[in-house]
Amino acid sequence: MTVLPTAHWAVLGKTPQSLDDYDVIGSSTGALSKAEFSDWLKSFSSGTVEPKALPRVAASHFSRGGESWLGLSLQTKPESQDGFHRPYTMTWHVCLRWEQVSKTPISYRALYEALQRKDFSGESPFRLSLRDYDPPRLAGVANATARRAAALLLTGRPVCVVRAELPMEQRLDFLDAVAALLPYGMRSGLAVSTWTNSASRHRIRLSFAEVAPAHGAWELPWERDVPHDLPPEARLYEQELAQYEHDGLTRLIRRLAALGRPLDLDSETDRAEALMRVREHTAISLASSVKQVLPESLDSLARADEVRLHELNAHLSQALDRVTDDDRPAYRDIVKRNLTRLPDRLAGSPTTETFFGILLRLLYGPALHRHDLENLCLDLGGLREVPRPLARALKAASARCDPLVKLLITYLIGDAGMRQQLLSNMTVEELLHLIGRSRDATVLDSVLRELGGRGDRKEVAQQLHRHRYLVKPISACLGDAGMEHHRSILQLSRGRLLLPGDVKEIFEALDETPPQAFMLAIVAESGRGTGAALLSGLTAHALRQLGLEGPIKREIEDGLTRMTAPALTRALRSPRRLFGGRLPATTSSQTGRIRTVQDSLRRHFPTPLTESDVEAALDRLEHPAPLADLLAIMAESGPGTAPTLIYWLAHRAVAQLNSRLTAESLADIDQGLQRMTGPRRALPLVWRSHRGQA
Amino acid sequence: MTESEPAPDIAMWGASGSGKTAFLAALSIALNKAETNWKLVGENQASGAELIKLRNRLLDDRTFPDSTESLTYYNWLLIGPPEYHRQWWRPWRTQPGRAPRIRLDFLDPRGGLYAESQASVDKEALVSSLVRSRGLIYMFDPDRESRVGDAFKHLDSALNEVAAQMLAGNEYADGKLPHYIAVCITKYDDPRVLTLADRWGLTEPDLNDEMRIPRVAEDRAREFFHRLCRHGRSHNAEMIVDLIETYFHKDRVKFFVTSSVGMYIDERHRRFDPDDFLNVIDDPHRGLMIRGPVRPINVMEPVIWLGGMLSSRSMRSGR
Repeated sequence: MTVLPTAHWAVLGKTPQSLDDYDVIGSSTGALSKAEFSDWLKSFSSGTVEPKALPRVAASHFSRGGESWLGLSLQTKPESQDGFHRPYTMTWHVCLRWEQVSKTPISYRALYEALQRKDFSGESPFRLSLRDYDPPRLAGVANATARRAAALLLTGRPVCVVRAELPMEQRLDFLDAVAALLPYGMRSGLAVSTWTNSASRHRIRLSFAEVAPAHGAWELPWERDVPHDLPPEARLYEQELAQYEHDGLTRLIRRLAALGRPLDLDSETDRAEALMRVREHTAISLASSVKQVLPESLDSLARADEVRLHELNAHLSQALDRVTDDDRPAYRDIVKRNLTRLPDRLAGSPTTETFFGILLRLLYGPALHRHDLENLCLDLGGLREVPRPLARALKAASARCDPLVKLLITYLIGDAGMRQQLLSNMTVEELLHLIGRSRDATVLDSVLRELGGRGDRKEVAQQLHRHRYLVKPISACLGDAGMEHHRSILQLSRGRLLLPGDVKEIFEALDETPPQAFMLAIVAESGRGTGAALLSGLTAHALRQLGLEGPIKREIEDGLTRMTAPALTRALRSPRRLFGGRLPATTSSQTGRIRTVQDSLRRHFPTPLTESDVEAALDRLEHPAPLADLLAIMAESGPGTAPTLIYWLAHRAVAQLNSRLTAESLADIDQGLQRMTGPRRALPLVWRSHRGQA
Repeated sequence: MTESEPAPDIAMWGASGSGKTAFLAALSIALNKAETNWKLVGENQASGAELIKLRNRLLDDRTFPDSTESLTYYNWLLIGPPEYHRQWWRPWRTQPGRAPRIRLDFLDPRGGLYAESQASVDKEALVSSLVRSRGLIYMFDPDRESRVGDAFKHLDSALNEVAAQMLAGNEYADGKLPHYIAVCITKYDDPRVLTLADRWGLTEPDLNDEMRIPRVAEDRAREFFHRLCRHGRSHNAEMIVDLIETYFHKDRVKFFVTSSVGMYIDERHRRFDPDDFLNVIDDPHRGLMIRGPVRPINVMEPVIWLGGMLSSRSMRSGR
């Protein structure tokens, strides 16, 4: 298709024997005046002519009243002399409104050829018959010098190509190619010339010349790789362009030609946009090329075509660094749909291993994360099991992963040796971190086993204390089923039954009320006389949790002291005196509730409460028992009532965990309770009836 | 002048075709011919290349430079012979000192630019350069003046703008521009110019010159200029001398009668022939051609005078 836009024109020169200076001696009317043409052409002079510069073609731009123009001039060799016997040149200039030019890209070469066919006479604008914009041709001209010139233009400084012995048409094609490597909109502010005089101060940004101007312009020798210390913006742009050859470059030029919004080379923002646009194109083309190649790779894999798979691997690996996270879901979808089986013949092939290595990076990025492994099981589910090449690729990929993902990979590929080696190379601190991060029962088991095998118990104990006995991670991954793991931790930290001091220390390490499973683990692991420490620890956390301070806190602590005192002391004291007088209630709602329950207890029981009173009071509590109510009972309890409360608490915890406890665990809890509170009358605990059934 | 001091800028001033670029092209030839051991070199690659191109144009192509199309800057360095110093403790021996160097930053605009009334990028650059410069070479082309008569217009228009920028403040309390100005009557080799000088009795043979080329004595150059202005096509030209002496210090103005290519001398007789001295001939295909050897007249003198004035001034007052 040939474009036929309306062009305006002007001729700059002299008439034979004229004594006048150069000026516009003819022009079209209706758009720009002679003075405007004159201003335009003189402003964008390429400098004083010299014989080898002619004929000279230059493209320039002009603005008038908010309307932009793109023009092209041809300066021809002198054919006549002026009145001072001086030969003079003629400059033939055509121009188009940028509005027209931006809609349909036009090359300088097309404008030049159209200009040559025109007769510059009369006063009317004429229609130019322009050849189509030709990206393949431009791509063919865009050599390394053109790429560098385009990159250097993005520094905002002019570029001067030197040492180029080329015919004018070839120089014009080069200028076209450089402009084609930039967003098309940049032509709106780009002045180029096939030859400039470097001693002249001109406004040409890109030109050929004998030498470079003294200041401010880049000197670019023709087709010579001069190692410029390129500014970052130019280096990055050149690197982007360097990725394109042949058809790829044609596609890039086509895309750049579609970017017709005027861009100003003097504007840093606009120059940065050029780089952004090319990168955008790179990303899009890479993403689309991966989308095309990946199914073919999977097909080659299924057909056991190792040679083709090898070729495609090379293509895919080029895209690896360019793929963005936004592209990956589409690739995963392709793999899910197309990866069905791995032929036996490729099971031991290095090409297949390379393919899986590339696939892992395409699908999940340079480093695998935990969720990637979960996705991997879905995406590669078609394989049903992890084949050897994938296992090797995963093993290789694990080098770039964090320890937890490494460990999970060992499970995925079933490599116990690698797992053991990994764990044994880790410090206690790292192992405990692993548990904290994983919240995974399998990892927990492995790490606990590893910790159990470590010789340095003291360090293990210290680290476990620092990590708050891993109460939270274990609760998070196992919930109510975590009692045995809590017990394992307690055993690792002490290596014996807990003493009252141990229980105290453990509770001090915790930052919140421990879960029921942990409390039962303490019970099961406790030695003699630890009941008071347990109750004390639980009370301290309960007080903290409810934010109780002041008199009410002291009352509860006094109650705790009485509860843990021997039962005999009860007869020696006057219990009412201890509670003599009502204390003023605080504004706290929890305090209010405690006071209400206290009042109720006093109405129903003589205080301080005896063991049977405590038991009766506890039985009357609603389910689940509010913490405030328990504390109220404690505040009103008399000496020797602690075992009752401890049994009741254990009973309640067991009832909650119920089926998650084994018979052995229940027996251990029972024994632990006995050790904690001393030999006493067995309470009618419900869980006894479940023994052996859990 | 030391290298750290600002360089004197010398701007060329004159109408289109007055011979500004030809004058520059002849400068290095004049220096070579004078055997003064002064030489002209380019201070940068572009200026060096232009210097060679301009000289070759006259010497090899035997044509004149093309019309200047846009503001052109030549950064040249005039390097003189080293001065020899005697040492007081060994007065019989001399030792070469540092060669004098004069930086010549020439601004060569297209001629029409001076007369343009409307603002343009080039015009602004020209006026700004004139304001920054301290040396001017004003080229007066008697041939053009007799045929077009626009010398006054070219001088007056730009001079007004320069004066408006420089004299509006208090920096120059005496109301004069600080420039040194070498007023050069060009194309002395043109028979019409030489004939006028001869007719007005201003020429005299130079007895030191074996070729006996008639010269206008240095002290009569101003008078020649004045009479040429009155002889011109435009009556305004009469005011040019007044205009120059109104805007510039009288003692900073010097007149020179110049020719870039000089007279034709028949090598067989090596004497000026009043009937055959035309050195520029019109070739119907190539335009004006240089007939014989290039023998510039008064081309290096204005430049060396300006260079000397500017460097001594800058040494005295830091410009």
